[in-house]
Amino acid sequence: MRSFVFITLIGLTVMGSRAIATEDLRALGEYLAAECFTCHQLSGDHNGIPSIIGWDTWAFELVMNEYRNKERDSNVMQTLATALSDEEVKALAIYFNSIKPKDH
Amino acid sequence: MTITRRRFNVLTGASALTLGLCASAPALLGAAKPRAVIIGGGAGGATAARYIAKDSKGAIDVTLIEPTRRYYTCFFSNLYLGGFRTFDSIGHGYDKLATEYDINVVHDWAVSIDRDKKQVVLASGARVPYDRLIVAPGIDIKYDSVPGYSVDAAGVMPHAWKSGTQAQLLKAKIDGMKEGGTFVMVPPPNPFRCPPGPYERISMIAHAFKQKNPKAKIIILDPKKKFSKQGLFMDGWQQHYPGMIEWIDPGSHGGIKNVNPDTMEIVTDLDTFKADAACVIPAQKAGTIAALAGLTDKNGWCPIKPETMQSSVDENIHVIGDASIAAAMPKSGFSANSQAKSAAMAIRAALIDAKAFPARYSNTCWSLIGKNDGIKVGAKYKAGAEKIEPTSKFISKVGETEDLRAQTYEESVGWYSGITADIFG
Repeated sequence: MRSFVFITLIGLTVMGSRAIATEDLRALGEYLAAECFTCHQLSGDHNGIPSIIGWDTWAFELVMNEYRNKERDSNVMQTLATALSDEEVKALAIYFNSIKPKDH
Repeated sequence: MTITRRRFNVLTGASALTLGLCASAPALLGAAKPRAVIIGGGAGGATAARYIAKDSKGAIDVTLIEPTRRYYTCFFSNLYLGGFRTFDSIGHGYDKLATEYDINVVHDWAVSIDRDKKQVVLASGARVPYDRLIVAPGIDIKYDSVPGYSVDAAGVMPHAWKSGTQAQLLKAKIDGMKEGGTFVMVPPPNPFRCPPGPYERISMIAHAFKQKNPKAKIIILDPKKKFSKQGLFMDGWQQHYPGMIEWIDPGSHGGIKNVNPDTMEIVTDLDTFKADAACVIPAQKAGTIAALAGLTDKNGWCPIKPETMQSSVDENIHVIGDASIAAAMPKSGFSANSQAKSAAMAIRAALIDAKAFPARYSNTCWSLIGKNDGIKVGAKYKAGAEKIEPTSKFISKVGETEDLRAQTYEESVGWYSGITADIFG
């Protein structure tokens, strides 16, 4: 019984710290995203530059890592992506996943 | 709207819990909010106003001072000259900034800044107090930098280096030029707004002539020995407009001695050119309000601190966009938009203790040479101790595939939609 409570507490603590970390990452992502919004629209509208709103985090990270590794073409995106750390890419993924395209 | 309602709930909730302390409530409600004032509603100023308002969620009073009610972007005004955009499509209003972001948009001229009292003086005589001020006036034209040029001459040989009516006038001159006539451009000396701009303009004028006036000639009398994306432009001109464009460097013309709007003659040290239509773009300086406020250096531009875009002479004032000395960053709408975000973040940190992350700067300049033939140059920058420094850069190459060029143009169209949404909401 005692060990069960102990494990639960650890579980809660871990979950708690994860939640905070995600929130911090989202804030970091929101700040970093300001740079993206010069081209990519917050509304999800697009004509010539793709929407990056509401993507799954794994897909966002995959594409960004392809730009970082220069496996995906676009000199603009390669230049911007290589300036980001792993954590910053994750933060952007969390932020863009958290916003939804505007209804029209 | 939702923000207002939520804040109302928070306040009523607090009052309900502290009925006994009601006396403190009026003080809380009446406490003056810190004030951010922005002079200039272009790519820099309007972006900064929007980001301060959006990210402070009503905690900062934001006032944007901009004389024009509709802003016509300089970027893409060349595409309007070439017939790729309508004039309407490069115009933007301030309605969303006022109604959706609660920014007080004041259509008046800021005529001076009282830095001791921290107030902006308007042409109407009213004074607008600030805690932090952003000065984003863009450029003003140094008319006397080209002998013979003047405000009057701009009505005949438009500079069109501020968009709007000047761009419309230039288009009328291009469309109305006599068949087989000669168009002369005098580009500006460095530093100036939009380094590839004059050469994209040449491309777009050539495109317009190719459609309606194919025997027309274009002569460029450049005060500079070289220019932005030169190899790419010259290669493109050869391909799209063979024999139409002649670029003459200062070594060959000897320098511009005089322009005469009455005779339409442009006199250089070695020759006199007779134009049927002309575009003369003089040297430039920071918008005059910056000099009046003592924010400029001896060259007429404003030194700044790289991390926050604060003026080197007044920490309560940030200067962004074309008026600032952003070192390696070119004077472009993209740069101004990028700098605006660092300034907005620094202002939120100073006024409401918001978290300040490191400044991030980037720029890309797209240019259109001919139909579906887009090129670009860009870079990422960091705030160095003394100045903004490039960390990596890229540029289009001569001989790229048609598909890639078409994709680059398409990208620029997407960028225009993106940046104007980011500036004007």
